[in-house]
This record gives sequence, structure tokens and C-alpha cells, in this order.
Amino acid sequence: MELSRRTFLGGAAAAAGTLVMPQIARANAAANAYFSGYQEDTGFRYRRTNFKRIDPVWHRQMVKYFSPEPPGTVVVDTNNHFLYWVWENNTALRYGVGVGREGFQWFGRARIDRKALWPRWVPPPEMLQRQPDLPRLVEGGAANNPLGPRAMYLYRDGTDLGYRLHGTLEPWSIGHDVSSGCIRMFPEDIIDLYQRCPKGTAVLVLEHLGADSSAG
Amino acid sequence: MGRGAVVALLCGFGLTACNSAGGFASPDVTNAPLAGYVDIAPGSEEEFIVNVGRRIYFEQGSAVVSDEARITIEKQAQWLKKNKKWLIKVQGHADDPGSEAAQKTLSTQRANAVMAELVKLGVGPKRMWAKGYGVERPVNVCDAVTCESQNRRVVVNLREEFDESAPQYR
Repeated sequence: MELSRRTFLGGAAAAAGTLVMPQIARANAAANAYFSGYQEDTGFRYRRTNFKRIDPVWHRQMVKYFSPEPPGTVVVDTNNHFLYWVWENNTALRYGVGVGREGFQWFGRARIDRKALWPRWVPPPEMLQRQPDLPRLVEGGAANNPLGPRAMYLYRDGTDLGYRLHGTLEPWSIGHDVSSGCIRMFPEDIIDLYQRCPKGTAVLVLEHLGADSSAG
Repeated sequence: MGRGAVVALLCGFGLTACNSAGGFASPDVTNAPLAGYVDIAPGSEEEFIVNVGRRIYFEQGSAVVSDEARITIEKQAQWLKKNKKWLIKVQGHADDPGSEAAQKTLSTQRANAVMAELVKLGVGPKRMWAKGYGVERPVNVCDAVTCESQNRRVVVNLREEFDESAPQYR
């Protein structure tokens, strides 16, 4: 296998003077399998998620949901990578999410006080300190904007918590602990949730369902 | 063992309350699937609810359709034009300053505003009717924007028949 690929790619590798290229090509092919064309949206476009490549557990779906939180609340189960939009009659619309990696998780109550279509991305100072190579600002709608098509900004008592619900350029990261504390969703899902959550929507981020909700 | 078998087993042992609508059994626990939503049929009410969304929100005291609201209405219109078997009851609600009568009026104005947008986008007016419910049917009750923002809404409801609130009803 290794031999035949080398034979096949020999010319190109020799020309590039490196054998790294096939690996990059393979990584790109693996990433590309997660996408399926482009979707126009309010003046910009995003890469459509290839949901055939996504475990059905992360697909948006209606489920039974038993919790004291009232309808209209957004509840995040961090450990299990689910976001619930609570409905009447013990039901909820459930979405798969990516959450903060170890050391970047947070729990507590918040409220969506600001919403934006195709938000610009300004990495916070702490993030720039960790990753000095990051751009200082990425315009909304740019192909490398990690927030994707929508963002909902989480506040508590009028103060921006710095956390958001937003889209992602990395659909494979849904279901994992990956972010710096933000809740990321498939672009299709953040667009969907954005329409369902008016400004003023209550958000509760839990370590897991049933965990103490008075924290924070 | 498949999920169906697990559910059947749990239900059989009476470990948990179960519902079974149309042969579909699912335990009453969080994350259990909901009848009708497992394999969603194209053109079904379930598809409209999960992939389009029924609710459109309004600002305090306003029946003006916002740019944000229009995004939902456009999606709804697209779906409704493709699925002509459905009648549409456009239900307005309010949780705003003012008397109950004023809120009833406001909720009716909201419903009419959404219906007008749907007509503009090509949904047949003969399929639709509007009704304002005022403060009767809140999503959630509290004296905070958290509740009010949810309640200031129009719900686009799919129906198989006209009801007595429809001018088309006879």
C-alpha cells in the first residue's frame, strides 16, 4: 500500500521535494468529506454540513426532556455535548454541540442579550496570548471566521460573559471538548436556534443534566 | 440488543412509564425519542416544526415584522408553497404593557402582519386565517424580559380543517 502510493505520487513528491504533501492531501480529503457544497445565506455563504458523515446522535432532533426549566430556556449539558431548547409537555429540541476543553469549561446561568448575523470575530486578549499568530480581527462572512453565520452573546446582569453560542468551520468538532468556553454548533443548527431564541432568552450551562443549577 | 428491544424490556418490567402511540413505545426519560419524530416524513407537521419552526417574535408593543422575523417567515413560505395540503392558522400572542383588550388587539395585529408577509411571498390567502389570543396562552409567566420576549410571538400552525375562528369556516 505504502509502496504503491509512493510510486503513484513519486513524481509529485519529487517535484515538491517533500513527502509531506500526500499527508496534507489526505487530511484535506478527510475534512472535505464533512462538507457538501455551499449554502447562500443573507449575503454570504457557508459550507453545508454533510450530515451523512455525522453520527445521528448529533443531529437536531425532538426528544423527551424532564427538567424544572421552563419552556423557551436553552440548557447545555456540557459532559454529554447536548444543547436543549425546552418545549412544553416535557419535550425539547436537542442539538449536538462542541464545548470548552479542559480548563476552559464554565457553568451557570446567562441570558442572550445580543445577537448577530455573520458576526466579526475579535479574539480576546487571553486567546491572543496563548496563540499570538491569530489574526486580530476577522470580518463577518470571511471564509476563515470561526464563528460562522450566527452568534448569540451570553450576558449576566448586563455584563458580557465573553461566551457565545455560535457556528463552526469544523463540523467534526461537534460532540467534543474543543473550544475556549464557547458553545459551537453546526452552521445549519446555529441558524435554526438563532431564529428560535429572541433576545432575553435564558441560558443554563450545566456540567451535566441534574447538576446543581444554582452554581454561578 | 437494539434500542427498541431495550425500550420494550423496560416497559415490560414496568420500570418506567411508557407511552405508545401508533405502535411506537418510548420510555418517559430524558433523551428518549418522541413519537412521530424518529423518521420524519417530508411534508409532515413534524418536518415543519423541526426544520422550519413555527414561532416568530416581536419587539415590545410592536406588530412590525423585523428583518430577523422575516428570515423565519421566508422559510415558512417556501415550505408552505411546497406542501399545499396544509391549511394555516396564524396565531398571535402578546405580553406587553397595556390593558388586556389592548394586548388582544396587538396580538391580532401581529397575526395579521405575519399573514400579510406570507401572502406577499406567494402563500395562498384562502389557505390562511389569523386569530389574536392576547395574553391567554403564554409560553412562560414571569415579570422579566426572559418570559415576555418568548410570549410576544406569532405561531404559524398547520391545520387540516378550518375552525370557527376562520372566515372560510362554514
